[in-house]
Parts: sequence; structure tokens; C-alpha cells
Amino acid sequence: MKKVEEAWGRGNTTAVLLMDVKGAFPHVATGTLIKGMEGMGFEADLVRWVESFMEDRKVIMSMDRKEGDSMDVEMGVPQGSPVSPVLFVIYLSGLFRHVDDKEKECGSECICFVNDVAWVVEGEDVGECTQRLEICVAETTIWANKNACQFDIDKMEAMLFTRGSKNKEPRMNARVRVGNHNVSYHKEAT
Amino acid sequence: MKGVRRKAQVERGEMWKKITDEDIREALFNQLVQKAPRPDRLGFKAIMLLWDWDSQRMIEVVKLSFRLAIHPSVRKEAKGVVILKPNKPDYGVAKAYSVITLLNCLGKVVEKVAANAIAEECE
Repeated sequence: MKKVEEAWGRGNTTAVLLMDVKGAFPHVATGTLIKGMEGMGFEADLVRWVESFMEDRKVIMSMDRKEGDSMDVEMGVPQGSPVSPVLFVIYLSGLFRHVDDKEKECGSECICFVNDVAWVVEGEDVGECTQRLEICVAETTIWANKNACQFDIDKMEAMLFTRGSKNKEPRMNARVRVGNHNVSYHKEAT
Repeated sequence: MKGVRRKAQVERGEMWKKITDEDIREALFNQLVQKAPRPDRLGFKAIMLLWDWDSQRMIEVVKLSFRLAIHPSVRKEAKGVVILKPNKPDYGVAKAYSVITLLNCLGKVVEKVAANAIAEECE
């Protein structure tokens, strides 16, 4: 919110794109997570403990009090464990580093709450904001494909914060292109 | 043993030395008591009673888990209980059901200590 007001002060427009990580916890890849932790300089015993925590997991499904056979779980962190949320954030932090490296000058900012990711960009007009959001999305997609991670395209939402009545025209028709899917700005704060 | 494959790193890490008895006590007593335990049926209430009885042994078990960097397989077996979501028009579709995961409670204590340690190192 502060960023939006600062942008207004500079006479700029702010755009926000909300994304939702599909099947967040079950899709955490052990290799990516461990590499990320090593890169962040965690103590070796903690990293190896996490590795041990992740591998050879099993689950028994139960329905109407009947239990199935024990099945192996190949990837993911379990729902309900106290470490899962923090491991998931470390896992996703690879994405933020990736986008930061690619788009330093675009000044995008990311806010993340577990599996909800929000990209915040500032630009002179709607067109510029849209362009920057599209870069964020494109880079996110590249990272996601590389790391077997998926974003829920149907749940994406875009928001625009503009001030004054200038460039009202293009705003109404502006869309953020995500692959072959368009996300329109549906909320506005003026 | 199956638990130790890949990367036999020489460096052992120092994180386990930083864990205090109080960290472990906190990790245990901040858990929600009413949560359903599985698959060994040993709930937090039982573990809390055990703590009063022999806290030293439990502290050693938790610390050893990090020193050896092994999370034993008994703590990695989850039970997934399929439950019906209320007020769904059609229970013939998978979306009308959700799964809740029940985990080993002593494992959760160790995992809570790990979560705190990770958060601390991040700062």
C-alpha cells in the first residue's frame, strides 16, 4: 500500500498481479529445495535433516474407517507439519531470485503469503505496467516449468491503482497476457 | 540403511549444538493438544506426560535427530483421511472430498524445532 502511494506521488501507476501456486505443498521438489538451502548458507546438519525429512515418505489413505495400503510419496512436503510452510517459502524463494536477476531494472516487488504470490510493479502508464507484469509472468513461467511447479491461471487476478483521469481509455481494455490467456484488470482504485 | 543415500558430506554442521532444552520444551508445549495423533496414536497429551517423567531422554532424542540429520521413517508415515466437504451437490466428483493429514506427534515436535531453527537462520 505504501508503494502504491509513493507511486502516486511520482504520478505513476501501480499494477498488481495475484497468482496462486497450484497444489503448493505436494509439488515441492526435494532437489530444488535442498539446492536452495545450500545456496542460502544453512548449516549442513539442518540441510541434511530436511533432506531426510523429505525422502522415503509414506502415506496410508483411509476412508470410512477402511485403510488402504501404504504408498510411497515421491515429492512434496506434508500438510500439517510445522516445517512445511517455511520449507515451501524457501522453495519459492528460488523464483524471486530468478525474476530479480532477470528484471532488475523493472523494479518489480513481490509479496508472498504461503502459496499466494503477488507481483507489484510501477510504471508511467497502464501500458508500461502491463508490459512489466507480463515480463514477471513470463519469467515465473520459465522458472515454474524448470521446477515442476504450476500456477493456477484461472485464479489469477490483476489490479490497477491509478490516480487522476489521464489515460482512462487504454485502462479499460488493458489485459495481461499469460500464455494464451488474458487477465483483465477488474478492480480499480482511483 | 535406506535413510542415508547420496552426498555423504563431510561437514557435520553446528546447528544441533544451538538447540537448547528450552527450545524443545517450547516446541512441545506450544502444540495444539486436541489434534488427532497418528499412526501410533501417541497424542501430545501423552508426550507431555512423558516430558514430566523423563524430559532428558526426550531432549536427547530430538537433538540426536539433528546431530545425525536423520528423521526416522516412523515419523514420515502419514495417514490421509478422506472426508466429505459439507453441502456439496454431487458427491460423485472428487472435488466434494478433501484429505486431512495426520502425522506422528513426536515427529511434529522435532519438525517444530526445525522450523524455528530455519526461521532463526533466515534472520
